[in-house]
Amino acid sequence: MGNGFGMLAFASMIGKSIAAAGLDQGKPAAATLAKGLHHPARAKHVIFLFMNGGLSQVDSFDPKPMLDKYHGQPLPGGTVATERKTGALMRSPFTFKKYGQSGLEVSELFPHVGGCADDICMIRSMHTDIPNHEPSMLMMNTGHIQVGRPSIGSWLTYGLGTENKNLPGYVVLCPDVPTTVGPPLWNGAFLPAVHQGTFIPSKVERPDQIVGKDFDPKKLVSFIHNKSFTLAEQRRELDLLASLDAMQRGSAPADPQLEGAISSMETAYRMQTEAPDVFDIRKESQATLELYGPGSTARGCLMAVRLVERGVRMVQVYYAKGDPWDAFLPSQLSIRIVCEPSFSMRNTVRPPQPATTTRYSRSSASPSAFTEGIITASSPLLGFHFQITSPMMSVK
Amino acid sequence: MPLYQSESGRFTAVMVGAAVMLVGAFVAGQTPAPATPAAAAAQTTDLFETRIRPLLAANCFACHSESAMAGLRVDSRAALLRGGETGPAMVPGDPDKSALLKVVQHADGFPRMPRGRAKLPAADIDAIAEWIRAGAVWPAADEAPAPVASHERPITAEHRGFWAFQPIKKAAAPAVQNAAWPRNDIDRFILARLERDGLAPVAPADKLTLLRRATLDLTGLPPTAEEVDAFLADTSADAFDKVVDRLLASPRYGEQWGRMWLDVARYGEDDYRSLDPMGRGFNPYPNAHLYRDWVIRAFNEDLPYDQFVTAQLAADLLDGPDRVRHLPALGFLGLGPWYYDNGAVEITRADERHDRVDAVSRGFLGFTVGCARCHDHKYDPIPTKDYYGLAGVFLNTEYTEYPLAPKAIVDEYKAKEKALKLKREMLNEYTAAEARQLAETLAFQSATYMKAAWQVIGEPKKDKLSIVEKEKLDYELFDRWLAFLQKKPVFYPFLKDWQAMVAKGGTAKEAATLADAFQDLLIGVVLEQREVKKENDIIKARALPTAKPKEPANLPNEFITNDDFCPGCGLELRSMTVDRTTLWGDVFYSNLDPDDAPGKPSRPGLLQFRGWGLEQRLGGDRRALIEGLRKDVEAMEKALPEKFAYVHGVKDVEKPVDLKVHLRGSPTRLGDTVPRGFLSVMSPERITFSKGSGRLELARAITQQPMALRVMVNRVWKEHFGTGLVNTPSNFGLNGEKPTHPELLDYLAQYFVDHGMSTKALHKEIMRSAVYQLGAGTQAAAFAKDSGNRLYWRANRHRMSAEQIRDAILFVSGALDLRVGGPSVTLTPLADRRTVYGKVSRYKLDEFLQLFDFPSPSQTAEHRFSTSVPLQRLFFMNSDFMQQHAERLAEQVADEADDTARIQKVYRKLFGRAPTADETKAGRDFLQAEALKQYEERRAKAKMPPDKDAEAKDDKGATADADKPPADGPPADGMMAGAKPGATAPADEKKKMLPVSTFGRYVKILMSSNEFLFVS
Repeated sequence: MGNGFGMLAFASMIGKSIAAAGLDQGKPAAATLAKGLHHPARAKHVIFLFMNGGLSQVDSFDPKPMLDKYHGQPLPGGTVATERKTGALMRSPFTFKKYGQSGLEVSELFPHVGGCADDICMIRSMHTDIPNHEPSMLMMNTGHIQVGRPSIGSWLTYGLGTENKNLPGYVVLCPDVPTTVGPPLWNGAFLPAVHQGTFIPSKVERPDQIVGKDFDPKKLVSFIHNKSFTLAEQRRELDLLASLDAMQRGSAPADPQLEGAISSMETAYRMQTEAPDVFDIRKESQATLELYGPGSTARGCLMAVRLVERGVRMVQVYYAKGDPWDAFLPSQLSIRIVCEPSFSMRNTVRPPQPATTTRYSRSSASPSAFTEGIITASSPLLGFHFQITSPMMSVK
Repeated sequence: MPLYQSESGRFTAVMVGAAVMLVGAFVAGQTPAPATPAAAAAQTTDLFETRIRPLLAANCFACHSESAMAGLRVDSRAALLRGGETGPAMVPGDPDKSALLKVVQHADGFPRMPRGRAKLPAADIDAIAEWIRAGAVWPAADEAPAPVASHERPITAEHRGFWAFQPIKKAAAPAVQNAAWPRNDIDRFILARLERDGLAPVAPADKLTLLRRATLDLTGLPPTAEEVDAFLADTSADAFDKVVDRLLASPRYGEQWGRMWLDVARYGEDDYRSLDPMGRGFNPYPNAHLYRDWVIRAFNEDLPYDQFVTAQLAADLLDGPDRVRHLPALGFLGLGPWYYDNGAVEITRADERHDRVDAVSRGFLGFTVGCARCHDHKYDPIPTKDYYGLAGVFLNTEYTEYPLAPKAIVDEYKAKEKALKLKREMLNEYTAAEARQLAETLAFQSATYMKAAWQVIGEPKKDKLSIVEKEKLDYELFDRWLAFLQKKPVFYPFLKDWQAMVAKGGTAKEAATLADAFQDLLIGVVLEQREVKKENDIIKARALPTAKPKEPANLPNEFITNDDFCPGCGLELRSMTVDRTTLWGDVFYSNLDPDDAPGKPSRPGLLQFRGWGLEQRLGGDRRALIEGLRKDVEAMEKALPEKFAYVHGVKDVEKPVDLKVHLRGSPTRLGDTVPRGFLSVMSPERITFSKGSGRLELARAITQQPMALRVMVNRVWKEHFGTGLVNTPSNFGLNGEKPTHPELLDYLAQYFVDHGMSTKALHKEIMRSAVYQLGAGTQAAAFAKDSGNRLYWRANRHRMSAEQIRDAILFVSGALDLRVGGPSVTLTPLADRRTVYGKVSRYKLDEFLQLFDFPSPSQTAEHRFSTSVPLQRLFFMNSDFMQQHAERLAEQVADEADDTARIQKVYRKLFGRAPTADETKAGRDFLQAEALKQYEERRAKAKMPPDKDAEAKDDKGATADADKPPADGPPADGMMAGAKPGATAPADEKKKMLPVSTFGRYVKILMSSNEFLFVS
């Protein structure tokens, strides 16, 4: 869903939304927002790693001692009305340890994340009532389980505008579309279309690389590269158009709408050369590339950093369809269980974990820069049908 | 590098909820202490007056009196007895059973009260306990009536006095100073208001501007050069009236104005589906266009507005010919959005009802009833009860399909479809049974194959082929065994011994022993699996409510319970141990490998054969049987006629019921039952509905509302002027705008009623006015006072809409197909239908439409934004659509004598006027210079290193594969071809594309000019 480039040029057109948020374009958002908060807001950009299919919170960052107590027993109080029938509860097979001054409890799976405990804000209160992936993903992104509400990134750019007029305010990096659910996750719904997330494919050419020799940032960006015309030809077309528009206006006073159309034309022309640069991760040092490791998620993360460095308000990095989904490693076992005709395994809350300890390492999607923080997928499915975690990461 | 803020958010799975629930379960299990004998002193009112009342007032009343948080009031004894959402707050005489005491004690499982404050002193808690134990005496004089759990704010006279609810006032047009300006009463209202502020309107528009404005306003297309000539030549007084009549009579009128309504009606042709059986993620409504065409026809035929409303809500409940004629109107409700499979049924159905309440109340009434789903409306007098009274109408309205074909054809189709389905099932079942039998038979040869395998991989290391021949093995099966025996023992230990034996170089005897043991194991697993299956079949059969197995549900009306989501999934079935189940799966179902990439298509199980692999292993007669079945299926598929058209509509359920209030909007926490009915504030005695769902009664109630009429005339006004008299067209409530010209609004509403609710009559009256015919010029004094032009002192200039841009370009290029109606088309560079006939996807909206501010089809839209973004300019600069249609126009003028003549002709076609001398010169200069420059540049580029060239070539369709939509998918990005990498025109269109020419580039520039794209 490519659009959204060049936010500022039309700020005058959508000025209302920005004014409504009490913000002037270009004025630091934090200064205005700080009033009324108990601490000054410093965040200007968001990188949102949406790890659909990640492992359960009870195995990662949210220990539940009561599960130990009730291991193997049915859910006290019976099945929740909106749930399908479930069998017994199952405790986490992993142990937890407190880290840092805050004493944040982190699973044994993430010792390195534990080392950053005091830099992490953990939210443990989020939940949905729906035992299903798609509605839950919609809930996470749009606040509602049904399609048709603006996504969080759309609201952010609607409220705060953008800091770079040559780039979209809200970028979605995903190896392929459709991912699970797909475009409705970054939809602007009833907000002006410009607030919609701009989808950029982040799929690597080869899974063992972060950037291959066939990589061409111009191919990533919508509307950026014309196959038929050279820039010089376009320049002359635009010059003629500008002079004809001026002749037509004659001596009439300036109309901001018409002026806006003309100036956005200039922005568009510039974007053709400037915008692809931000996605050109070849401009990163070899050391940085190695730090991120290979794979589409690594590429997405690195692009996300380059985008926020240039003032993009919100970047989401997704896994795609075909990436490990809802699986605990060895993922095939869970696939096997899904495929099992009798669905017998559905009747345990979580199927027994395999004893293997080679869990959570897949070369295609575990950028070393995130330590093991990004779990490719490892989710006990079945029974409880959604585990979406997006462990917060501080990058670089 | 700086540290970046990132986002964290996680779902807490239900297990968390479970942990919380444990606490509640525990406490509930405690037994209360027996009540002690009442203390005489406490029975007096003293304790209450001196301790309890002050205590309640100081700590509880803030939330639990008037505002009744959680449905609870504590300001009367009756209220405490009645309690709130979680039940009674008090059991007189039994403090331990009284939630009131538990909450102040901060007992486990109870909310801790008073919320956000320190726990009450022990003495106060004891006092409360004592008071309850003594019978909770509350002086009778103070007894307030017990409020209902679903607390309702009363509607006051002040509420009813709000302007929007008032009857339409017939006000005489006011006197004005400049009596020469007004052409009709509309102008008098406008001018009087301007004069009050000391303002005056600007000069009228010139004739060309006016004609272009009127033509685009009414038809969405620019006028032709001939139409311009005719109008300029017509100097009669009623020249413009004749133009308006001509435009209103054009079928193009309905296409332009129907689309206005389709925005309100959130018209979409598919819904997002999490359980789409075809795996596309959405489900199309193949006959959605019938509703769209009905709307267009309704405007063209000038269907009176009350009938327009009634048809969309209740066409199925009308009589005779009206029912047949208006049935497609039910698409307003029948096309959803339907959410049924996207979550728990209780919730999704409530969300569907919410959509209907929202679309109906905002769309027809300009009233935001949807806000009252969880609580009384915060601004408008809409109690939650009213919401559920309306939602109840839609509780009893379900999806249905109305065939638009004679019964005989429908029956024939259905019979053939059913027969085909049965035949397919037969084929599948027979094949599956054969496959299973074959696999189980082959299990008995396991030892043979393993022993043979040992001869190849073990010490003898014999040639594979020779063993196959010698042992008379199935080559493919033997291959599978060889691979299988090397499988990593990740999931089960059963192959470990064998592999250890091979690794250490065992003997033939050892191999034979292990092979026999494995065969025994496999047969054991087969037998156990059969046992398990038999038992599970019984469990399933017992659990089924009817003897008939459930058909897979896929229509909006077929999801009744959560079980339809996944029939039988909630059953507790038996299974073998994990390792045996896994072995069974590998051998008989699907052979998985830990190293397989996710998403890779599964391999058949070791002994499982499918398709031809199966058939060739069967005897000739059984093979013939399968073949025969398959041929039958193919023949029946061919013989199945094209499915008849049908309306996606709704009907009433058989036994209508009323809805209970959903406390705080939650469908699992129910309050009082509310009879189906209309909004209290709009009817002195709340109108209740009793006929079926009540849709017809609802439609009648709506069309009698002055508010409904004001809303419609305001929509028409806003389309003509850019701003509404109320510029929040779907919100006439307290939080919406007040009308800038209330008397004019009422005048228009009355005019509408007086003229049989004819929209066309309204257009005529509006367009006849001087205010409609104003120029877009400016005036310093007026601009200083009213820069937003809310008082209509000039015309508002605006960019054409997405549809107008595309249609206008197709129109001037001569490509536009002017047929009315029909199935929707994908918008591609050369697609020639009007944009209103393009596909409208809720799942993935066409990118072109979106780029030019088409509203989201998931919710009713009251207006369109008008953004001006660089991406739009890139579309004008780079898209195949622009270039191709410019080339087509260029072709039309190619025969002219010279560039000057061509330029003149193009100007007339595009702008309805001749070019000025400067404009002609600019055009000629460009055309002459460009050809030469282009030639030189291309030659220079050809001399550059070859890899650059390769890159340029490579760009064509570079990411085409990645962007390829699934078959029958949402609209491709065709309109974006050329402007966006990966978005390509369909192959058959590419062949028809004209080569790029310099004159074509010139025309493209003209078509991107402000003069063409803006309506003044």
